[in-house]
Amino acid sequence: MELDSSSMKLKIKPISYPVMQISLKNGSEHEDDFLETEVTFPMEFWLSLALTLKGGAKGMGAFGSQGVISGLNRMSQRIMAEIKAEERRLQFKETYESFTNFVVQINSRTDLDDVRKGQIIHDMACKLKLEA
Amino acid sequence: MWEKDILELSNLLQYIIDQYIYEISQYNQWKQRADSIYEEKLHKILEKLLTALNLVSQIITFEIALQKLSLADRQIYGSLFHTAKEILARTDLDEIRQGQIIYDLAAQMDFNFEQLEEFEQTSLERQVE
Repeated sequence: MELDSSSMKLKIKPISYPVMQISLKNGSEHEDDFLETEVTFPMEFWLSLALTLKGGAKGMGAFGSQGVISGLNRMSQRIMAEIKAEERRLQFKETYESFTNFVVQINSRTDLDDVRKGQIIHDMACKLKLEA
Repeated sequence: MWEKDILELSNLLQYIIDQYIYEISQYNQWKQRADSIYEEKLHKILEKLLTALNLVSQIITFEIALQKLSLADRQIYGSLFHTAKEILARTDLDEIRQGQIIYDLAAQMDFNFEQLEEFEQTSLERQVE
C-alpha cells in the first residue's frame, strides 16, 4: 500500500498467526529510513480476513481465474485452521513443549535408527491423546 | 537376532524374574535369620534387579513388535522421523508450534498402533515355558 511517497507492506503468513510482518518505508532517499516489525493482530481481524478472502473468491464467480479462486479459498482455509490450531496450542501449551523436547532427545540418540525413532515418536503421540 | 531366539531369551528372562519374585516372597522367612541392614540392602537390590529385568523383557517385546512391521510401515515411521527432524530445524516456529505439528502428523498415523498394542499385550501375557 502506497501513501504519498511512503509505502507499507503487510506480510500475511497463516503459519505465523497471530503475528503479521509490517514493513514501512519512508519516501526519503535514505536507505536506512526503513522499518520492519512484527505486530500481533487480534483473532477477529484474522477471522474477518479469512471471511473476506472466502467472500472474494465466491464473488469472482465463473469469470474469475480458477487459480486465483482456489488460492483465495486455500488462504482462507489456512487462516481458519491456524485460528483453531492456536486454540489448541493455548490449551496444550506445556504438553506440546515437552513433546518437542522429547522429540529432540530422541533425535539425539545414536543407538536408534530412523524407523525406531519414528516409531517411538508416534507411540508417544498416541499415548498423549490430546482432545480439544 | 531371530524372532525365535528373542522369544527364548525373553522367556528365559521371565523365568529369572519369576525366581526373584519368589525370593522376595520368601523375604519374611530369611528376614528372621539375617542382619536387618543387610536384608534391607538386599531387598532393594532385588527390587532394582526386578525392575531392570522387567525393562529388558519389555524392550525385547518392543523389538519383536518392531520386527513385525511391514516394509511400508517402516517407511512411514522413517518418514515421520525425517519430517520431525525438518520441523525441529525450522527457526520460524517456536517449540509449541513444532510440538503441535509433529504431534498432529504422528497422531494421524494410527495405522498399526492398535495391532501393535494388541500384539504387545499378548506377548506380555504369554506363559513361561
